[in-house]
Amino acid sequence: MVFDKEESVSLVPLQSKGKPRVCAGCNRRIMDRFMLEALDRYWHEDCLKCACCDCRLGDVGSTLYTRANLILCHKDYLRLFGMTGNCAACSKVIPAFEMVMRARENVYHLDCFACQLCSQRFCVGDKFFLKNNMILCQLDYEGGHQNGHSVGQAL
Amino acid sequence: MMEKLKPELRHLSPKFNGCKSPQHDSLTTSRKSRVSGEGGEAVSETQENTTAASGDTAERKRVPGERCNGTMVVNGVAKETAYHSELKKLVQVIELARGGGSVDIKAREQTADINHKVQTTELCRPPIPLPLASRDPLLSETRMVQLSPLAFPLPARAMLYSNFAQPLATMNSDYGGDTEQYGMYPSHRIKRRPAPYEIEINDDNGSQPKIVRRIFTNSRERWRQQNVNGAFADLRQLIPTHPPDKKLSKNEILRLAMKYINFLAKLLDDQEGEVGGGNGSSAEGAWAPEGHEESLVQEELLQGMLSSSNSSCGSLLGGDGSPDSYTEDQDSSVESRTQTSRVLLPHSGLHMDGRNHR
Repeated sequence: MVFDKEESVSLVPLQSKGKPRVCAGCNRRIMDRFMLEALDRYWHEDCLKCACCDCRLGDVGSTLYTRANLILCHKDYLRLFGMTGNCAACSKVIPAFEMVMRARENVYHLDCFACQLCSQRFCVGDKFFLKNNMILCQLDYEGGHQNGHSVGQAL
Repeated sequence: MMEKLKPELRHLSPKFNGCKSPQHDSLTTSRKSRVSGEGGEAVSETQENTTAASGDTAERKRVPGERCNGTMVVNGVAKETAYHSELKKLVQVIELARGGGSVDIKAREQTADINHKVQTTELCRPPIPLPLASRDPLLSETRMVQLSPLAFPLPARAMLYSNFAQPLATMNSDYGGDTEQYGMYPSHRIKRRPAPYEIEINDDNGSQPKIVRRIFTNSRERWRQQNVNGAFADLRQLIPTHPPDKKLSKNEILRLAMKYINFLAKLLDDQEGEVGGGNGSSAEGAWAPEGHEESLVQEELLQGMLSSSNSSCGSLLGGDGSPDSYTEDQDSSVESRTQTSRVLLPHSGLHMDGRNHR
């Protein structure tokens, strides 16, 4: 069975009276003031690291991802196992962890989401138009005053 | 002329010893006057170099006129960079002013892409030889009247060729030997510095080709370096780190790239094995122990993965849950696991250890 779910990571203080916890990463007792609790185990803060980028999961966020017996951070989990698509503007692959802009069914790189005639990116609230599957700003769209197929609003 | 030049050449380079002919003094004086005559800039540079050159070897003192160059040679990059920006601008002006061929445009595109990244590295590279700056007014081909600062360095080999086509034609084959001699040591660019002002002393008209050639090689080397740096930068973008914009040295880039590649390869192998194992007629019995030991297996795998994080390759071990691997790796030990080997831990062995601790 392959684990494939989010897990929570929580920072807990070392109990002075409880029995000393053993770190699941190095198999040693945890003598630090704080330790991480995840996957029903206890870890040194230094031991719970992403298998890909080696970031300390306690510092990065409160969720860790596990799959194929790997502990991963959110970004690397998407990097390795995320579904990727191609940008509708440049036709290059979009890594799963990257921010994208969506317009109807099209997905764009954040940088690619600009008017395809004047190469101007949009501000929040700007209207953009999709014509022939091309992104146009208001000026370019109205400049051609062709039949507008759809009107969208940049978020 | 060549006889005088060569010993002088060797004399100036830090790696060569000797050069005791009195001719040097005469040559020196003539050069000195020339340098001083070329402008206040050159003189000031010479003076600056002089102060820095006070600690130089006795050989240096023999050619005070060349101190500007000799010092720069000796003092290395730190001194050279002081003039580098000026020289670089000057040279770049030459290159740009000559208009671009296709080669130049290509180079410009390449450099433009990596501009923001390698800008600093450009400055740190060995500078264009000083004589170029001082000799500018003399060179008719350069026409470096406007000194507009250039943002990006251009290899512009084609431009240089077009710039100095005329002097090139007249380049003395004798002088070619000097520069060629040091062409074998692209990294020891200091050694090639003596060539330009060496020529200056001997022949006004012949100096330009040598300087031109020096500029060629400088630009070519710079272009090559930019290429390499650009490739490193591209590779850097593919390596996962935390934080993502962490600065990595070239060595680290290469090692982490190896690590990441091995990690991905192992992941693929494990996933393929997983799929194949699930679909194939693997031993059913192997699955049974897997069920209740799965959580422990995962823990052990993680332990093994994390415990080997101190290795140079880091903890890139993955594992899979296929029954085949459990049975296969019974005898392997956690510590002996390397990146490329199968990850599965001998769960039985570690199982006991875990129990003891708990």
